[in-house]
Parts: sequence; C-alpha cells; structure tokens
Amino acid sequence: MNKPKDWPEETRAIQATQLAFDLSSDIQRAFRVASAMQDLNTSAMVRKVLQLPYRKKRIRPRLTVTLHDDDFVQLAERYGLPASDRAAIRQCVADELSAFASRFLTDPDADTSVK
Amino acid sequence: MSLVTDGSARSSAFADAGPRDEPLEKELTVDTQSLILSLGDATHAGRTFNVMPVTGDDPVLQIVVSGAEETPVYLTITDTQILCLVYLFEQNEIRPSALADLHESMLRISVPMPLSALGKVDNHYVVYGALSPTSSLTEVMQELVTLADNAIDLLQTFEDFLE
Repeated sequence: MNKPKDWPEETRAIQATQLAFDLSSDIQRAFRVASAMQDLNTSAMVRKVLQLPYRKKRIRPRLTVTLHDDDFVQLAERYGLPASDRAAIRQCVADELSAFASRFLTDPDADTSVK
Repeated sequence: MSLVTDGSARSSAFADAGPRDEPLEKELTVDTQSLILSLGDATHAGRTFNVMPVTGDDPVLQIVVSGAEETPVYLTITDTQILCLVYLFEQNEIRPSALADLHESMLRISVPMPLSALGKVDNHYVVYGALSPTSSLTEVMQELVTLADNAIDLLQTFEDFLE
C-alpha cells in the first residue's frame, strides 16, 4: 500500500482537539470529586471556584441500593448463605459497605475490587 | 460546564450573518474568537450554545448545544476547514466479539447520516463534520446542532456493541 498523504496542519488540529477533550474530561472529573468532597453539587462548586454566590445547602446524604431477586442469588453465593435468608444477606451488605467506607476514608487509593 | 459570554460585541465575519449574506461577505474567514462572541448570543432552531475555550497551544472550543448537553462538540479551525468533532466512546468500551459488526455498522451509517461522518482518533471513535472556513454563522450553527444530535442517536444505536 502506498503511504497515505498526510496533512500536517489538519493532524495538528485533531491532536489539539484530543488534548482539549482530555483536559475537559480531567476538569469535569476534578469538579465531580471536589463537589463530592465538599457536599456540594457541581454547579455550586463551579460558582464557588469563580467566587460567585452559590447555595451552601448541603446535599442530603443518601445511600440506597435496590436489590433484586437475581442480586440476592448472586450475593448469597458470595457470602455462602442461602438466597432465602435475605436478612442475613442485607446484614452482610451493610457490613461490606461499612468496611469499604472505612478503607476508602483512610486510603482513597485502596483497591476496592472484589477479590 | 460553560462559559457565558455577554455577546456585546459581534465579530466582523458574522456582523451581518443572516438572510442578507452575500458572496463577498462569505469570503471572510471564521476564527475561534469571533465564534465565541457570535455563538454565545445566537439561537438556531430554538437551540442555544454554551461556548468554552479550552486552554492549549492551538485554539479549541468546547461547545454545548442546548438539548444535547451529553455530547459536547469540539471545534477547531485550520486554514482549510472548520473541524467539529464529538467523542463517542473508546475502543476498550467495545465488546471484543462485536468489533467487526460495529465497524460494518459504522461504515453503513456514515453515508446517509446528515452532515456528519464517523472516524477514529487514537483510541476514540468520533463523529465529525467539516465546513469551509468561510462558512456563515448559520451554517456553523446548523453543523453544531446536527452533529450533537447525530452523536446522541449514534450512542443509542451503538449501545448494544458496547460493554
């Protein structure tokens, strides 16, 4: 195959767009993290950085998970419990989430994947 | 996130954009500064534009079209074209077994898709449109709206091919 024609200026423009996309993604991620750490929504966080008025009302902390029949089966297998013992499964779920929070708050880089 | 521009000044290239466009005026070349000013204050088919310049050596604008906020358009201008680009997904998001079917589907969709085509930049699959650098503001806005809407349709169309 012959070497395809290259267009240096167009290639440079595409690379600039790629850099812009990566930078925008990084900025958005930083604002999501910063707003979560400060219990603000992202738009309030943006206004705070720009030193504009923003609503200081904190986001009501909520942590809910809806478990379906399939989820109970999967969790029961992992916890070594009968799928019908939903109370015990819920207790294990609560313990696991609590353990995650403890690990995360002391070491945000900790491996949180399921072993 | 968007940068709100006051729109108090109009670019010379777009000063009289609209029904009175004349051939001589269309020879004026678009630049990113004029687009920031013009788009921040413009409406096209009921859609508005939030424009944010992205820091870098080469000027790139991130443009969010109202009603298509999840698919921001990245725009850059060279001597030969205005390139508008939306990033769809990365290669590692595609189910390996679906890769060939996805490519076939992309090639087939690309031709009838209005004003846009599909491509790949590094590991990113993109949908893009290119215009002449002497395009009018109306043409640029039509491109932006169509591209952002196309991107949403494509993400839905290709959903089954992704992890």
